[in-house]
Amino acid sequence: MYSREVAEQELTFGVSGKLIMNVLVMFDRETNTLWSQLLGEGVEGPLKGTKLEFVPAVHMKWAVWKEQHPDTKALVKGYPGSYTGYSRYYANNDAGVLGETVFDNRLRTKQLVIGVVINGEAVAYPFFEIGREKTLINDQIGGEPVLVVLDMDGSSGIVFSRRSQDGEELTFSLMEGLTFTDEETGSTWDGRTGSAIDGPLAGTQLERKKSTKSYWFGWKDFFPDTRVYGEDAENSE
Amino acid sequence: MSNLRNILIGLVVFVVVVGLGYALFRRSTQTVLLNDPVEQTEVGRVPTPTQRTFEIVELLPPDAIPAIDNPEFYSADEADSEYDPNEMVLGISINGDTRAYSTSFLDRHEIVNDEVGGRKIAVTW
Repeated sequence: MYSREVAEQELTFGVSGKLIMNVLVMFDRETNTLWSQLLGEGVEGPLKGTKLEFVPAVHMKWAVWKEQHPDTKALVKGYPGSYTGYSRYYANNDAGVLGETVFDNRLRTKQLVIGVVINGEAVAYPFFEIGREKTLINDQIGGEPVLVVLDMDGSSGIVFSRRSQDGEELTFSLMEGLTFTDEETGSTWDGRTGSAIDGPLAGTQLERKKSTKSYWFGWKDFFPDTRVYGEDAENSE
Repeated sequence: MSNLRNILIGLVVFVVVVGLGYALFRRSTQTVLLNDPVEQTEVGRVPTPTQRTFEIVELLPPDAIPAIDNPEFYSADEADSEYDPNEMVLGISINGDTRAYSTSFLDRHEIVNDEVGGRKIAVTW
């Protein structure tokens, strides 16, 4: 998700009907600039080169989201169930409607990944459906310490900075459920929000970093030099 | 015989449609140069952006897929009548305003122009 407050004006976005490597290109009704959804950047028109401000959200199962946020509202659809005209597309092995730009079989075409770019370094964290229910990854991207939280239960994945508010680098491990602790201060953290709920850092908050949940083929077409966590062993911790 | 003729007519129609589609598709293809996305760090290191070429391909006219400009919302319990437990949603919480958007529904709309917790946001899928 992105802020619609851009360059001191409020934009309203529409679907342009155009794609860049299978990924949505939006336009805004105020300036008619084209915006790449994946890059969060104007790609053509008056605001070309302008970045959209990333607004953190999470993609997860309704029941898990509702349990975590009992006061949530939900968008009216007008029909029951999660029917989508795309169910065949989701189930098959096709790489979008335009095919693939880069050949790279480190992961299967429609493996879901959490993609992150920091300081020009791109990393993909694959969801593996088997094995651990929750995964915490202490990693470095582009020189920045990050914490990647993959929650198989809710099918969600989010990324935080591992720097405390004072700039200290923290190292996290899983306690139970979605609570973590850090080795450096022993504080307890809520992994859904990145806020410290107990210990010396209680009341402070980890910064969310921009991340994208994507199919592998889409991510590597945009970022062919991407590292794949767990595959490129020499780079991972 | 009439079966064969129908098949032949079908083939001709198919070739014409695909050919036209292909011609339109190629004509509307354009190429832009983009900077590689970089993010500024707190210490201010700004890597040199390298130019990459991306192709913008036009498949549909603008607004053929309608974005939502005036979204309506259920309470959590009301939403259970339309939302399956395993249905995937995009969830967001800003200043105590918490909302979920079904992503199978967003397959049909791709964008919701919304205001959450006083912030104007675009929910994109």
